[in-house]
Amino acid sequence: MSELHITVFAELEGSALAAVSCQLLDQAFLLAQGRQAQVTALVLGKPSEATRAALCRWPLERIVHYSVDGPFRSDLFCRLFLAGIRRLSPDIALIGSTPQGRVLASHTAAMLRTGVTADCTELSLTEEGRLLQCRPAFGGNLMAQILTKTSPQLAIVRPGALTPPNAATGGCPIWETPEADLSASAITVTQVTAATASSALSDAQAIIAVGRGFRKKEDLEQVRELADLLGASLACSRAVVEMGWLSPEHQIGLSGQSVAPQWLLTLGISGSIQFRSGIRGVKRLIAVNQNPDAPILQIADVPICGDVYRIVPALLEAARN
Amino acid sequence: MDILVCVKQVPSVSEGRLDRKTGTLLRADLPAVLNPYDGRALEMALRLRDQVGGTVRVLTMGPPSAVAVLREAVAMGADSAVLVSDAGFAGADAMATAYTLSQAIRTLPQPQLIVCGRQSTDGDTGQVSGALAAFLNLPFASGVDTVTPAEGDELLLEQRMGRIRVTARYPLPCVISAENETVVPRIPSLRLRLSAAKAQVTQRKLEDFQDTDPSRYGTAGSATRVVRTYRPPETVGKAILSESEVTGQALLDLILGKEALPNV
Repeated sequence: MSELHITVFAELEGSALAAVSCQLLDQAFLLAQGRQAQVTALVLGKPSEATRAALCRWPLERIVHYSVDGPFRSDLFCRLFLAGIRRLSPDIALIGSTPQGRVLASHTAAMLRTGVTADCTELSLTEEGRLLQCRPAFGGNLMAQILTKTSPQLAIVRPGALTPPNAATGGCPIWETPEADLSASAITVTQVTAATASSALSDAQAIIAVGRGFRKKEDLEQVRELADLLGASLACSRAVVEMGWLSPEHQIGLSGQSVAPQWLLTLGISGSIQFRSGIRGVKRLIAVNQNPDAPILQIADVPICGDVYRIVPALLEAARN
Repeated sequence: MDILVCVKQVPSVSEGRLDRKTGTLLRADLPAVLNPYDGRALEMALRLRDQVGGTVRVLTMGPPSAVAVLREAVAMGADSAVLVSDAGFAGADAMATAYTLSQAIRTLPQPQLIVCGRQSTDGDTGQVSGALAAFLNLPFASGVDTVTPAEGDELLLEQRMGRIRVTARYPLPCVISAENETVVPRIPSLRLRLSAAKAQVTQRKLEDFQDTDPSRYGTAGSATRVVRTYRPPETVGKAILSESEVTGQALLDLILGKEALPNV
């Protein structure tokens, strides 16, 4: 069996290593365990000295780096990412499920005529060294296991619960900087600002999330007031975003935010696998649902079978005092 | 501006069942609707057309019954519709779907702008629009919240990119994926619904494409496949409290951690 080659997209956030990249690097080495394998990384952008040092924590074979300056522009970054993957020619490429990662993955898969699996929550290898990609299968309570018959096998991976960083291994990988045009782009970025709702959610220590259990948009106002009184951020399930009641930055779940607050109160959320994949880091989960069979009541620390239209006013009254 | 919107017909509820053997979705037993994300993408296109003039064409890849979402789109105000349908397209994964769409689009007058929904409520990979742009060799913008025409044959876009919001100018033609969740799609008028029922729908089959190799489409053309489905292990939960057992101040204390959690 020839050596298995896994490449990790070590995405940068500014000049720092994105948290999901660290998780992917850990994941890659876990997959490589007990096999003849090499793990490499692909970096786009301008890493700081601290980031370069951080990348020494993993025994990477080499790092291919395109020192592109400026904000993400899809045409330029996709071209460089594709060049990097072609240069590395791995069997498997792991990409974090971030706005940038998802764009790079779809472009690369199309250009290389290979398969891509989005929102993987679990990865493992078959005997033959093919990547088994697991993801929730639409809506309900099933998981699907997917195989890609072409190479490279591209997997877009959701961030999981944060793992503590490993100790440094001693050596540092070789950095390769291939020749490339680092500036040609037909896209001009004129402004970049923080999206206030989303940064509040992923860092929030207290969250109240609403779901389909509410009947109309106006009913969320009471919840908003409760959240303000308790110093909590307001969030929701995908259904609420689909109905247009709250903007996408409020969404928790597979195609939304991952959150890790001290406490999360869910109101009228049933708890699909998609939703649950966004709450793995929650310390205390209090769930209210009218349906005793709702999956969320099976995993909550405080599961309550009840009517949100009675519980929210009662909580509001207590909070106002 | 000539705009093309790719839409998909999906089961009306996000929860559906999988065919245990093939791992593909069992769509037949659920009523079908226009993917809500595509409804908003269409609304984005219609508003742009209303602002600057031009046409909006809708296109869908699906079984013959998918013509229903095309009629709904025409009832909302789309000017023309294309049904891309062939037995050989069935079972396509995201990449095969994008390739099929790209081949169909190449048989039509080139649009200046292609708008897609962010993802579908069934397959929900969100990968089709980016791949479509690659196959058409066009620039791609994801997470587009607002679109404004700009000078020199460009578009000014506002994009949601996770923790940041980006404003950028893109050249035309390009492909955009709409993330305009706060927008409410217009409701078709009765008059438009009636005329939509009689509207001409252009058809495209494999034989109409430049690339007629059947191994590039459908199940045969899909590099990924579902090999197994399974239920995650059941978790045994804590005793469920009834509403009357803990409300008001007591519940508030539990939420804020001022009381110990109930024992199993």
